[in-house]
Amino acid sequence: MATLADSFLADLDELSDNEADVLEEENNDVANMEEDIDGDLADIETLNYDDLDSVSKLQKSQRYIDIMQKVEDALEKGSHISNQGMVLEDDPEYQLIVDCNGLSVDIENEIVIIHNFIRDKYRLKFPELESLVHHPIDYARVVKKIGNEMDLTLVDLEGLLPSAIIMVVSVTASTTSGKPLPEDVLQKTVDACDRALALDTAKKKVLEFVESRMGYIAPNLSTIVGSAVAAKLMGTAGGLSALAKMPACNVQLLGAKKKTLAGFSTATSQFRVGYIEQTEIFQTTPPALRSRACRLLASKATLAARIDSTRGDPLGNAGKTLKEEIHKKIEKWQEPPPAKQPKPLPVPDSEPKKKRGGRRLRKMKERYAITDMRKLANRMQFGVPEESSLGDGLGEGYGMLGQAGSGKLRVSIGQSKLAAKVAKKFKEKNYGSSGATSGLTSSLAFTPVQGIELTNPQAHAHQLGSGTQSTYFSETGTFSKIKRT
Amino acid sequence: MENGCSLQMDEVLASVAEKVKNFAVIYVVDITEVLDFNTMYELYDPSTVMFFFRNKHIMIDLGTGNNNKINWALKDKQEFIDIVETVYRGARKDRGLVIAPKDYSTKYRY
Repeated sequence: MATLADSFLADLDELSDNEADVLEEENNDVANMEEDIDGDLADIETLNYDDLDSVSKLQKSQRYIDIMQKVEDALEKGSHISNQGMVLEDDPEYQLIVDCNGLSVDIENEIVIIHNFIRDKYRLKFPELESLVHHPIDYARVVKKIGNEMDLTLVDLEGLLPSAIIMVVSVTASTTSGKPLPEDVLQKTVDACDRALALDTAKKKVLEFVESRMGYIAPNLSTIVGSAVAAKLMGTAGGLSALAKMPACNVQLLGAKKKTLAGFSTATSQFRVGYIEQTEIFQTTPPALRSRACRLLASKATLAARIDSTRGDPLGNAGKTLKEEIHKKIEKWQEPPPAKQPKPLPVPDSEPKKKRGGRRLRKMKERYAITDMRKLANRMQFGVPEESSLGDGLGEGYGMLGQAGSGKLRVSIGQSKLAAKVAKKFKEKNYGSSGATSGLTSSLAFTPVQGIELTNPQAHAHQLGSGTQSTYFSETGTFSKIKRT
Repeated sequence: MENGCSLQMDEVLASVAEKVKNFAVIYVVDITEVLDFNTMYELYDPSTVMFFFRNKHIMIDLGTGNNNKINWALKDKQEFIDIVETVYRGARKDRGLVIAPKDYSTKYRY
């Protein structure tokens, strides 16, 4: 908006008389009121020039004054049915709404700045108050009420704060480390509080005005969430197009407050809802479905805002259909689940068993896999009778274990995975263990052959190769000689 | 006495029929009305259950000595479903005799 940018420039230059930067609507009343406001300006300037004004300039800016004036006029005029034929952007009322949105954001920022100012000044008197009362306007009111009083039983905070907080504040005040403020500092603080409260009322007025025009500005959005909430959302977002650009998750959180803990449990604290909480639809949903309803509302409201920002549906029909959708969905959630049907058993062996795979299963299988020693014992050399545990072919056969030509003098059991797992399990029970070797390893030595055997270890490395490998085209195999008969 | 036995078996069969309908169908025959098979299958008990798969009679080793039929009233539905399933699995693999999951040799224990 060119005019908005210009008015920002006006703020920067601090030219208070530059009327050309303001909206082009002629309003004779503005010119009359300006003189009065200029008089007020002079008074304010002389009061607390150095501290407050250096940080808070909004209330004296021309833009602020003009817009406030127009808002008050419009509020007095009542509902104004504007010319439908005009394109929205040229309608001066729409311009005003847009400015109001920007202004409400600015007022909010201004309030935060003033709150910081008050807090810094009041810290000398009552430092703990800022952590007990978070909301800037409430803080300002409390500060104004307490003033320089040291004994909080003389101060009546009823109506300003919830009673629980009042109690906490009173108790903290009795043990506070603060000291009473000097008179001029106190005066400045109270003035800052007044200004904050004035800004707050101004913001309320602006919101009221926007709310009354909401049905015209954003019909679809107001159908879904109601005009008050729609106005608040627009105000916080900073305009209809800004609201439309936001993702729905952000819209859900617009206006969400931070809860004061003050030692209370967070178990009952509600999930993060903003202004959406105040909509009629939200209030009428049962508490169990509230978080889902909030998300649904936020997403549909965002859709409606997007329709409105492009003026796609000036009559508000899209809003009505969206609202119907929302109602239907919430009804559906509340339906009881369908009755359980008794299912007949499936045909046996018709569904193949789900075989799992992957690293975990492989590692598990490794624990029970056949070890190298067992493989050797299972095989036999051709034409050579195997040794057995009881001798003479009785007892368990040893197969290739320890045979001449296997290339190994000692066949040691490699640490099997199963043994490792069992060893780990019983590690704590081995109190007197030296820890050097696990009790489950052993090495066997078979030396049936007299003398020393020296063989090339690599020659027999392939002996235990996997049985699936073809030896016909083996890379390590040698030629075989077949005798002619 | 006899009525109670056959009634109990009837109840079990009726409640199981829906569950096993994908692989078994249950027929109830009154042996006082249909007498043709009484001698062939030796049907004289109050209730007898026999299993057939593709026109072949399947025998079950129940531990009672008589592998051809179940001639007492089973009380447990799940047991009966297990027997039907075992018969189905075995019969599909062309086994003439299957082994029941539970042993009934002691069924007359008091």
